[in-house]
Amino acid sequence: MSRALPVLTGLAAVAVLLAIWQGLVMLGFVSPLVAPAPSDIAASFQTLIMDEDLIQRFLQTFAEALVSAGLAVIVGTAIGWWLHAKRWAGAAFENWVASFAAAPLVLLYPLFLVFFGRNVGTIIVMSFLTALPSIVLKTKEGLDAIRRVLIDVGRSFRLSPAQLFWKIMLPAAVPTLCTGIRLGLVYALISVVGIEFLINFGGLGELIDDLAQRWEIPMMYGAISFVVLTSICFFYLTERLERWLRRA
Amino acid sequence: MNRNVLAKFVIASEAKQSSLYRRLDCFVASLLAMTAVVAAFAAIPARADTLKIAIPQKGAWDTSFSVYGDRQGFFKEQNITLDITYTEGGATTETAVVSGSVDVAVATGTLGIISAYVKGAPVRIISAESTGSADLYWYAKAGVGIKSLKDLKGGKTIGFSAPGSSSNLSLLTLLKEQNVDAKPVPSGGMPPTFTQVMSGQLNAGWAAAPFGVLDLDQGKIFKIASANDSKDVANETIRVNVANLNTLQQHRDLIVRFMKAYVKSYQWAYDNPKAIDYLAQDNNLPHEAAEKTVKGFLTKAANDPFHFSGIQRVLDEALAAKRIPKAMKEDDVKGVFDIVWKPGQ
Amino acid sequence: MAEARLDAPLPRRGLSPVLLLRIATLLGLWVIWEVVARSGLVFEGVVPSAITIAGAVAYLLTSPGFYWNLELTLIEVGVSLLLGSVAGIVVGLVLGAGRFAGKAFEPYMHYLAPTPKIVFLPILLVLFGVGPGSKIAMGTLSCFFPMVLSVASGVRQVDPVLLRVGRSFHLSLLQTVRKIYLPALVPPIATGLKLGTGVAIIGCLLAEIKMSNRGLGFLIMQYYAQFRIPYMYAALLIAFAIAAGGNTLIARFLRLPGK
Repeated sequence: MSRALPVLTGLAAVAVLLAIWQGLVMLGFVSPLVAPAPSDIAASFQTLIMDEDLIQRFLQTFAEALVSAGLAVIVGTAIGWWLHAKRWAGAAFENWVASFAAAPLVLLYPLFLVFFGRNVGTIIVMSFLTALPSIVLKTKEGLDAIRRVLIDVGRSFRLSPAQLFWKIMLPAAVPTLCTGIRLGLVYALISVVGIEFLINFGGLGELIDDLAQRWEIPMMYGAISFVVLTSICFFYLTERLERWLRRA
Repeated sequence: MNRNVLAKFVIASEAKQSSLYRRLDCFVASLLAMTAVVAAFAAIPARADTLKIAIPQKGAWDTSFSVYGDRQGFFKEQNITLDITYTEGGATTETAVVSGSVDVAVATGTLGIISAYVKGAPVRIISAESTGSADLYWYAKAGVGIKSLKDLKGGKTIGFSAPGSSSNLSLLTLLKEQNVDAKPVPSGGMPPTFTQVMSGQLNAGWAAAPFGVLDLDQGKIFKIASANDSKDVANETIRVNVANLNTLQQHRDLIVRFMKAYVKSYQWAYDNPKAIDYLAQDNNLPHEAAEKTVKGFLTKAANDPFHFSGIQRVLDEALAAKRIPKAMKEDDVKGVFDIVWKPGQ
Repeated sequence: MAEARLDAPLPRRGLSPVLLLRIATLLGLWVIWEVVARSGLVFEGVVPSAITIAGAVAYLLTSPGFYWNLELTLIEVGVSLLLGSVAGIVVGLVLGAGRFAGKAFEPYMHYLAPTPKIVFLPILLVLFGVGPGSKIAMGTLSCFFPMVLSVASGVRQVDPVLLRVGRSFHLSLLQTVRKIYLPALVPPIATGLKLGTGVAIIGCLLAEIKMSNRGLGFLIMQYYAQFRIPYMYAALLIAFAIAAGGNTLIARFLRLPGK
């Protein structure tokens, strides 16, 4: 019971907040155009699912983020490896990658629109680029941090380079790598939803902007809650992934 | 426990952080200073006769009446200082006026405003702005063999500005009337649409004169349709001028004076050739292109602020676009109209 | 016996290999850009020559109108950082110090933190309108979460010995916060500020892009709407420089490790 108590308290607090919100709207203190009553939001889910294809859009956004992040993982770990293995490359380019990570790539969307058109390609390319730097940096960091002694042990057992990699280096670097993958997923999702929102194309991001423009505020809140749901899903996904990789 | 030793321990760890602490202090102090500056500016009360106005499609003829009139001093005569926010049209203009961050929005889509009103938005229509869409047209790149809407059969793409906009709705009407199964695509503003058409990403794009008038003349693009090709569109009051309800309730006189100056500006623009100079200037156009726009595309009657027609059609379109929850008649929404002033009052 | 040898390589003066490599890469990228720009592959004007862009940057940096816009964006970011950080520190302290509160509420912070904040933009725009208010709101929302998480985890790492010393001195809550927690929290707060700066900048710029009448993001969209692409690139470059530069500057100023 004591384990569940904090969780229950958290849920109870959320329930209380919702009740206060409901009251404020019903008493007229808050305009329903800004924050509709939670009861209205709940009621809107049916229309959201039936008429606005909420589930399909959720899956679309989810898939776009997954694909962008997946590509970033493949390319990013390769680049990160290269930066680690070739010392001169790492010295020359690591700071650039770090600066790239802070860059607001989303702002480039008008240019990408013109290059790639208004389609999934634009979303995936931009999100791939957004997710890439953190994966590159974390891969290099993870590989750099492997204790020398582990590699020496491997060499003393005369492991081939491939065996050295799979049996010693990868497991040692896994925690940092997983942080990188989690960051990559988060950045990819943020980018996907942001671009969908800005270019009016795609899944949940477009839906939210569309509903906002149609002043369907209760449904808009419903769609927003699904975005939060997506980020929670990714959270659990990465936790599972980390546990699986650690075991392997 | 030796209190002295432990006390020194705590102070020592404090000291280690002190240089960082000082830098942090510095940083926070500068942020505080910035906030103080902002707060000071925000506290300066706006002059009571400043009217915040949202104007979409900067430079377009009919949205610029207030700008031209301001240049002529008509608003000053009414003791009004205009504080202009240019928007890209559509929902941004609506949001600006619904949120109260502007008092008046000109040339905003009737459909959007009525739909917002039905959902409880605090807005009122204070005058008509445009009946029919004389300046709106669609074009294709020259030489690709698209000469009319019918050539877009089979799912070819044709652009409009944004979902729910007048370009969106006129396009849907035209396609339906002419039975063309082209694919409408929200292509954004006129310049990006132009780029997409010229680079082949879009088969046809939208524009509102004076945009593209030069390119039409030079044969770079070919006009394939006009919004007013449809009688229904030509008779529909597609854009209106709108005021925020709170401003209306608290500063009604300000809006009345605005309307007086606006009507004067609108009449001046059509009667005085200097307005055409302004149009040319603001859009970097040669004079004849500007003249062709006004004489060839637009008419004084179309922008009559007091002529409303086709409202039922707007409501039907709103229903079809799922913008209103159920079918409505003109009577049901008469509360949205608040014509604060008419000439002769 | 390590003695200096006469044939030991002299310390290198001049360009190190790393610098040479970077210059070579930049030159290579520039060449590729120019080729694409002049090739006619892309519709004219969409990829202008780098020299045109450089000219546009020079124009912007010398035009007072640009600084008029820039100053508003910088103020928006600054105020967002202040509000978001203060709120983040307070909430982080509560979540970190109170074990029960932490277990009950911190998961919600973890769920909300990676949520794209842009989805809240329509609400903020209706609430705060066209002016800087909505941009500050967006920036504050963005930089609140990194600070909360950073501070909460920092609070939990405060040496329990110090806390016990404080208790044995019978320090009041305020004194405990001031004398024990805050000094120990300086590094996490600095980290939170560094992370927050980046996202606050992005948040403010995004809000400006969606709806504004002044600011760097507004300028970018103006140039896009008028299709003055070289100027748009120039403004974007400056925005990127500020984002990357701001990150590095804050890190250096607060003496944080690297990036």
